[in-house]
Amino acid sequence: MRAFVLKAVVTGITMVATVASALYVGAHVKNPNAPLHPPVIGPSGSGRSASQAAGGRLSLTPSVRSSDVQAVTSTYAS
Amino acid sequence: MHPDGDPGQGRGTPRPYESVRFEALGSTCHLLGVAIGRDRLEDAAAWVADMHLRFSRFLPGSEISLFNAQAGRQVEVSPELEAMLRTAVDAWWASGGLVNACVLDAMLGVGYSRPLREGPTPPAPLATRAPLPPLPEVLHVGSGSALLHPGSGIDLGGLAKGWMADLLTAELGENCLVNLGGDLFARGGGPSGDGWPVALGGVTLLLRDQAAATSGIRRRSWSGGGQTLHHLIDPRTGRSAVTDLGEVSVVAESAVRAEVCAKTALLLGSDHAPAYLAANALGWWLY
Repeated sequence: MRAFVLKAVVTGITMVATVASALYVGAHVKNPNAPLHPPVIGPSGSGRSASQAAGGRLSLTPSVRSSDVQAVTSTYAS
Repeated sequence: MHPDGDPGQGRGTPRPYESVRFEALGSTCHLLGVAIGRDRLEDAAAWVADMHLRFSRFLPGSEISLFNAQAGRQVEVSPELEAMLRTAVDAWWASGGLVNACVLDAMLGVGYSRPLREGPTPPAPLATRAPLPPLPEVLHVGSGSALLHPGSGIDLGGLAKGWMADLLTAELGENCLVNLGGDLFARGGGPSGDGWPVALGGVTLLLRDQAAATSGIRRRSWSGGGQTLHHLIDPRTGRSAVTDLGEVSVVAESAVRAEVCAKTALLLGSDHAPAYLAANALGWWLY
């Protein structure tokens, strides 16, 4: 009799867990079309300078200095 | 040798520097060094050329091509490939999934199946394109081995250039600049001691222990199937990205980080790129 009760309880727990899991997964469907959000938490960028350059917008933090000397190389899209 | 050491007037007479320019990685590369012999720069150029042979997806016998061909199996990988694959996974996380190296099929889909100097191939129908799977779900990198899920393919692209630039500057010496097709790292004070003068966004910046990279869709674009196509794939669609930015240049602490920031900002567009860059970059130019 005790063994039967034990089996019944275990079966009941298993069924409840299965149903609960199914309900949870169904309520949290992964949306493949959700936009991706990269992290934007970080330094506030205070002291940043902004200007127009070559038709675009240039922003520099104080750790990057501009100069009027001739460049030895350049970054570019390749 | 450039005896005039023209750049810089900040700290007395600029020091002379050596410079080597060569073609590799599908672009022009430029190595510069103060108090670094030309033979060392040429050795470094040979290393870059060797890395091109090992990691170009256009070469069927390269390590990356063989790795892609063995998708579905746990395979041994070299320390360099392991490091680059780890860099790719880190880039995925750092970009919120927007920089996804599992982009090979999408690249082939838009017709970028061979070096563009040979011309693009016909694109696949739009209906066959799908969002890219999250990289950490399809690429598992272990110690000396890696597993790529079946049906997936890796294209390291600019991440490989950034990784190489960071590594090479660390190896070359205290005062050098490594520019691999626009992904560059400037180490030390350059000829003048004030930083290496680098052109970015129409101005010259003095970079010292800083890196820069540019991502854009203006140079490598073509038409196919009635669409304008380019090599910047939006992982949310698996198609050439639609963005209101044409080019983004970024200054950051490392070339890999600059590359990730530039590509992410380009995909985010002008509304969201400034906030992202303010949190992740040292300087930027949006065009």
